This record gives sequence, structure tokens and C-alpha cells, in this order.
Amino acid sequence: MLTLLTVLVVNATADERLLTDEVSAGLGVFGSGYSQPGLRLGDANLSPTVTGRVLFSGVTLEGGVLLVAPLTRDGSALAVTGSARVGWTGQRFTVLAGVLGQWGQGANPAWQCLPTVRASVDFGPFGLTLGVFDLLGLVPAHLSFDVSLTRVRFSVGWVAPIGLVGTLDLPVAERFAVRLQAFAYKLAQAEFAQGTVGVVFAPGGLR
Amino acid sequence: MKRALLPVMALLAACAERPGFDLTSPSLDTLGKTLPTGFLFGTATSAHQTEGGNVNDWTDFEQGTYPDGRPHITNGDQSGLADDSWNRFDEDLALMQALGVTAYRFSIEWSRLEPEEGVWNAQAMARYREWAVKLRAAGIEPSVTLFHFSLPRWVAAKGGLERPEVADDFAAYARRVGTELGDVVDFWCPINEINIVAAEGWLVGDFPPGNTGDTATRARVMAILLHAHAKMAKALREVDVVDANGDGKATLITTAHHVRIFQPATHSALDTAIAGLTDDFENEAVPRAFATGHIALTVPGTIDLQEDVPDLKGSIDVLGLNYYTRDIIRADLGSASLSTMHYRAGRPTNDQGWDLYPDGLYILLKRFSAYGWPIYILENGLSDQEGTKRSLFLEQHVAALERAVDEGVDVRGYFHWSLMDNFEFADGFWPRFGLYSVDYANDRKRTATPAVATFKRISQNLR
Repeated sequence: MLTLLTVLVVNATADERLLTDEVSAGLGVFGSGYSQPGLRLGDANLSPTVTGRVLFSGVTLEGGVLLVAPLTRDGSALAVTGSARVGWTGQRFTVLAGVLGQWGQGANPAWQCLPTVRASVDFGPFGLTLGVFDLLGLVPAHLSFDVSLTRVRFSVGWVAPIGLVGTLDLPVAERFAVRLQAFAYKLAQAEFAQGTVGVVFAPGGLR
Repeated sequence: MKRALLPVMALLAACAERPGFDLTSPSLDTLGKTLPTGFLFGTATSAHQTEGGNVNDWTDFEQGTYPDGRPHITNGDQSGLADDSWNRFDEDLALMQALGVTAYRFSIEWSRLEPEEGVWNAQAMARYREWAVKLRAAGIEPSVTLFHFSLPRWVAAKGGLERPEVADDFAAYARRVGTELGDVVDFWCPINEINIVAAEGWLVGDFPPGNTGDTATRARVMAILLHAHAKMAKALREVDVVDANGDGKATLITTAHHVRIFQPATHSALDTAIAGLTDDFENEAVPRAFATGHIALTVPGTIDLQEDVPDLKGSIDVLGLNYYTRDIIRADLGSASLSTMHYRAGRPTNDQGWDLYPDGLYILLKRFSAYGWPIYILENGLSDQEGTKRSLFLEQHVAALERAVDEGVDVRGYFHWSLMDNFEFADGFWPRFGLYSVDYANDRKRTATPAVATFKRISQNLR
């Protein structure tokens, strides 16, 4: 972690790009399951996350780890997801793509791999973000509307086929922000919802 | 949007209750005492698995092999004489009386009654009639299934269950049986496990005709069987006009719907969504079709079958459920079922490795009560050669059922699978499901397992 922070700080330049170096950590409560008439078969989970992003000029590396630990007996298994994405960030856009690997305790097969993509374009104070298996794979596909005010950023988006996702970064210091994030969506009979509180550290300062 | 998301927002607070019946050891002093008056507590068998001496499509399948040379049936078993119940019914009736059952679910072997198209065997019909009469005289309600996986050879030769017109053959068969037995039988189940016979025959390949990975035909076979059910129920109601048990109704028509718990292996969107789709196809599609008269079977990228079925809506008076286990679903987009299914490690299992999960019975009873039909558990049991697990299994599952009844679910009967060990279709004779074990090397001698005493205690607790 110390090495990563060193890299982040050294890398923090005046180079203005859409994304900045950052490290974030959060703790969420995540519910997943499916429903039928008379049935809701689901589980509540604790979902801590750690993510990091570093830019080398425009080359962008992003990674993260998500732990989903069941709060209920005998439900879905404990799972760990790792994500690695690489891409390019310019002044007005960013495109990142990579893979997700999820390990499920007792699952057969134990590993599940998926592609993950995130692309954003900025139009000044507003922007759009498209994500596929974004947020460490928790959201299959979303299209979000991003708003940047003075150091305050928020976004709200549509999750396919029916759902919502929202993120709010509230600055609490020069380089720190509190991040609130939530989503809820339905996918066929399946239902998902999460609320997360986290902190963001941006060594070059928050944008 | 808001309405659609309401259940999502409720997810965190309102997940399915898992009461933990598998952690309990219910008291036999009280188990079953709150079940309603007239609750049927019985056992179940099927013709091809117990009668012996049948000649049908299974007879041929049992002699076949897979392309890799493996026999269709484990250990190369063939049903042969099975339990010889065709000739030992009186002995089996005595076993039922010793158990204290109030109902017996058995099936009629179509190939015995109509070995060739249009040629009926009056002696065989008389034998089934004799069974129903003897059961009723013993205070045991006969519950008769007309199709429990085995077809006459002539039906199979005409195209079997893939031929839409087979529904008319089924209807003619039901009309004949209803005409002959309607004065002694009220409780009819036209077809056993519509979803399973189609899955095993066209997806897994261990039932005739032994096809694999054909999800589309599997769905079409399910649709054909629903058409057949509708026609059979209509025929039975037309010809069976005698109220044999004095409850004021000449017929009580059900289906025996195989249900399972499909639990996502992990929280992931893929695992959960595919568990939901699997649940919809396997658990929900059949009762939804009975409720609406419309079949909707969907496998993304393979088939979207939408079809109205005349006379299907209203064709069952009660819903029969067969429940055994829980499957863990891991997404696998390369397979025909879009998933791999496995059982959770570390759980109590039957001899075949199936998760013994009594919570599932409670969850499913609560769920299917939403349709409004009274419910009968038409099969529930386990393979347990040593006989060491069946008593606790029975206690925990009856406790789960009783809790559901206490909470308002209208459950009117429980049939344990099975009265005795039998020919377990593709698995042959090795899985031992019987309350009575059968010694196949010693004249098929029936011997009580320890669970017989448990069953009797519960039966005595019923009002």
C-alpha cells in the first residue's frame, strides 16, 4: 500500500485529465436474490471494497477487490472479486477495459471470469459514463449522468434493464472525500441492492 | 419504475426466512398434532418401479447403452421383477396398515392396460380395481397417477412425447381408466413431474429417448404434456361422476410437480439471475400455466415458447408437489441449462449426495400457497441404505410442513417416497428410498427400517 501511495503522489501532476489518481475504501451492505409470487429467496451481505487508480500520463491502470460476506446462515457463499482494468484517459474522456475474477467459497467451478468496461465522456460540468460489469461486477450495465460542481461530484444512472445507481463524493479535505454510493436493480427475476459508505484519497487533490 | 424497484429496496430487510429445521430434532410426542382433520398421511410408489414384469419403453431403454458403452441404467440393472408388487399387493397393503397410512399413491401402467393400440387388458384393469377397493376397505384413500414416466411401446414407436397428437392418446387412456375405476377412485394425478420427464429425456439423457442438451425440444415436450394433462383432466371429469369417498366431489385432480430450491452459488449478478431463470423454468412455469392456461417457457438465446392451452386453466383442483432437495446454481453460459448445479459441501446428504434441506419444503409451501390451491406433498423422501437418516429426515420435513400449516398454508396431505425400496429408473436398484427395505437377493423380502416406527408415531398423532 505504501508503494502504491508513493507512486500516486509522485504521479500527481498538473496534467489535467478526466480522472485522477485515487485510492478508495468502502463498506457496504448488499442484498441479492430472486423473487417469484410468494417467494423472495435472497441474502444480505457485508461488502467491503478497496479500489485504486493510477495514471501514467494518459495510460490508466485501475484495480480493486470486493469481499461479499453473507450475514445470513446458509445462503449464498462468501465470495471475493478482483478487478483489473487498463485504458486511456484524456482531458474529456476515459476508456478502461479489463477482467473480473470472482472466487466463490464452495462454488463449482470456484472461479468465474467476466469482462469489465467503463467509458466516460465529459461535456464540461456534465458527463456520461457507460459501465459493463462495473462497480467490481456488481452492476451488469449502467449509463450514468455525471455532474461536477466545485469539488463535489455526483452521478445518477440507469441500470439495465431496470434500476438506478447513484454516487456522491463530498469533499472533507484537500485530498479526501466521503463517497456515498447506492444501486438497486432487477434483472429478470433477480434483484440487487446495495448501499456503501467510503472514503476517497486523491493524492493530487480532488477534482 | 418505482413499483418495480420496491421489491429490490425490500431485499435487504425481507429475505426468505430460513428457519433452520435441519438444526432441530422435533418431538415425536407432538409432531403432526396440529395438522388439520382429514389430513392424508401416506406413502407413494409407481408402477414401473415396483410392479415388475412390465413391457414398455423403459424395458427397451434399460437394455441400451450410451455411445461410450456405459449401460443406460447404473450397474446395468433392469427393472425385471422389481418388487413384484403386481403379485404381492396384499403383502404391501399389510405394510401400509402397519404404518398407519391414510392414503396410498400408486400409478397405473398404461402398457399393461393397453399393450397395443386399442387393445385393452380387462384382467389388468380388474387388478387395479381390486387394489383400489381393498385400499378403500382398509380406510386408505387411493391416489392414482396415470403416467409415471413409462409409455407403451406403441406410443413410443409413434413418436412418444415429441408428437403433439400423443395428447389425444393420453386422453383416451384417461377416459378408459376413469370409466372403469371412477366409482372407486376420486384422487387423480394425470401426469407425474412434467418438468422432470422432459428434462431427463431431452436434457440429461438418462430417460427415454436419451437425448441430451436439447433445451428447445424439452420445452416443447413440456408443452405437449400440459396439453395432455388438460385433455386427461377433462376426460376424467366427464366419466368419473361417482363420489367414492363421500366428500361431495367425484374427482380431485392434481398434478405432481417436481420442485427444488435453486440457490445462487454466490451473490454475483450472473449466478443470481440464472438461478432466477432456472427457478422460473423449473418451478414456476408449470403452476403458472395451470393458473393462467398459458405456457411461457423461456431460455435466453434458445427458445421462447408462448402458447395457450385449451382447458388447462382450472384443470387441477389441488397442487401436488414433489420435493427432495436444493441445488446450488453457478452460471455457465456454455451449457444448455446455462449453469452447473451442485450440492453444498458439508451438508447432510442422502446416499446420492442430495442436500437434505427441510427449510426448502417450508419455503416452497409458503411460496406456492400464493396461487390459492390446496397443496399436497405427493413425494418427499431420501435414499438411505443404512436407514440411519430417514427418521430425522421425516421428522424435520413434517415439522417444516406443520409450521407452514400453522402459518396458514392449506396443506392437506403428505406422501412419503417411498413405501419400499424400488427400481429408481436410471439409478437402478442401488438408491434405497423405502420405509421398508427390500432384499432383492432373498425373495424380495420386505423389512421395516427404523423410520417405520417414526412414521407410525406421527400417524398416531394425526387427529
